[in-house]
Amino acid sequence: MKLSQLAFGEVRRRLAGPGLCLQTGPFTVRVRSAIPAVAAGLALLYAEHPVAADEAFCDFHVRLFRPMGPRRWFRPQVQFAFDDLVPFKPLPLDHALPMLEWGLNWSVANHAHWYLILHAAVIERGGRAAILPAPPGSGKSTLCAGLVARGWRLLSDELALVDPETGLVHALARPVSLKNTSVELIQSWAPEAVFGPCARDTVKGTVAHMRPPADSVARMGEPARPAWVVFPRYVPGAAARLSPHPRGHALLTFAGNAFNYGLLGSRGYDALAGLIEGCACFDFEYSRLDDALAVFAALADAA
Amino acid sequence: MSVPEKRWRVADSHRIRVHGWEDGYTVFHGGSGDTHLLDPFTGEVLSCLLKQPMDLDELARMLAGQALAELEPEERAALEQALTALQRIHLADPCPR
Repeated sequence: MKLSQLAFGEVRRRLAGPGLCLQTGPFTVRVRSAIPAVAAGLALLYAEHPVAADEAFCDFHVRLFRPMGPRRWFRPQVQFAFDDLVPFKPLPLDHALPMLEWGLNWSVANHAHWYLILHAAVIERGGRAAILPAPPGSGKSTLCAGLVARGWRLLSDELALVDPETGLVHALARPVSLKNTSVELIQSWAPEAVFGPCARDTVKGTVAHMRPPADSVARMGEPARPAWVVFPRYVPGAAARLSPHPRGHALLTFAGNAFNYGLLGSRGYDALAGLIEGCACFDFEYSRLDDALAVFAALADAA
Repeated sequence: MSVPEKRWRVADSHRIRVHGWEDGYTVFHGGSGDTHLLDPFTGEVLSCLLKQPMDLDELARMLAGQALAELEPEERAALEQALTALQRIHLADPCPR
């Protein structure tokens, strides 16, 4: 059953009671929260995701709640808990949805060590995956959202889950997190896309989440073979330019921004080297999504 | 009597992973967990040492793929520089003959 098939009252009941069990890629997450904005946000952004039964086995148990104390009355806050662990400081209550997304990322990155987890967006077309690693501000999520809105399949906008045994990348198909001017840009680029509310004044500025396309969610059980590593960089006014990126350097960059590379030891290195061996690596400068779309289409068509 | 050249070896060679790329070699050291990117020449030196411990002349011969009469000063300096770089990141060290 999809979340959209569940009455909103039932979504709220489960969240406030036993928990709402959502499947996101290979993980089932039990979310508990009595905060109305969390229920509304999940119902909107995870509408296409499968819901598991109350008694289902869940990989992660997370909870969003309002901390007690006098502040509750004049500056309400929200707190994220993983089991009984509270890994973050509380945030303003209207940042509950971004906090849930960041908390889910944290849950995966800190526990799913049977994958090599890279900090990168992943999209797929024709069975081949493009991995987009990049630091914040490089336009990674904007590019990812722009391409996903034009037919590329979303695997993840934040976490590349690489199976060290097969070399395949697994999908999460969770909402794409957009920041600041990217929100309006993608809203006008893809008017049909569904967005959650804007959370303002977060540590990342204004944040809004784009719902993943239904097809990406329906196919989230399909892993993809990595074919390209593209380091995107948004440069205002720049023409779209794809240039080779040396692969040794690419490996080192990945090693530096993977979440659990150090933990996996030689297994992580072998997985990373295998991934790079099977990929063409590029730097990509762009300023217009139209140009980026054409460059990525040519990349896919040439494969 | 001339003093024999010291030999160099890769300690824990079974814990080292090496891949060659167009821009050099990446090396993973299973002991330290460190990953390095070596320039092509230093990577070739490491690949030679992974086969067996060698002194400078033996290294030069293996890199050249042929017998050499004598090392040019520039070649010697480059080899010493590569070995020093490998020693600095704990991938190679001198060993007794």
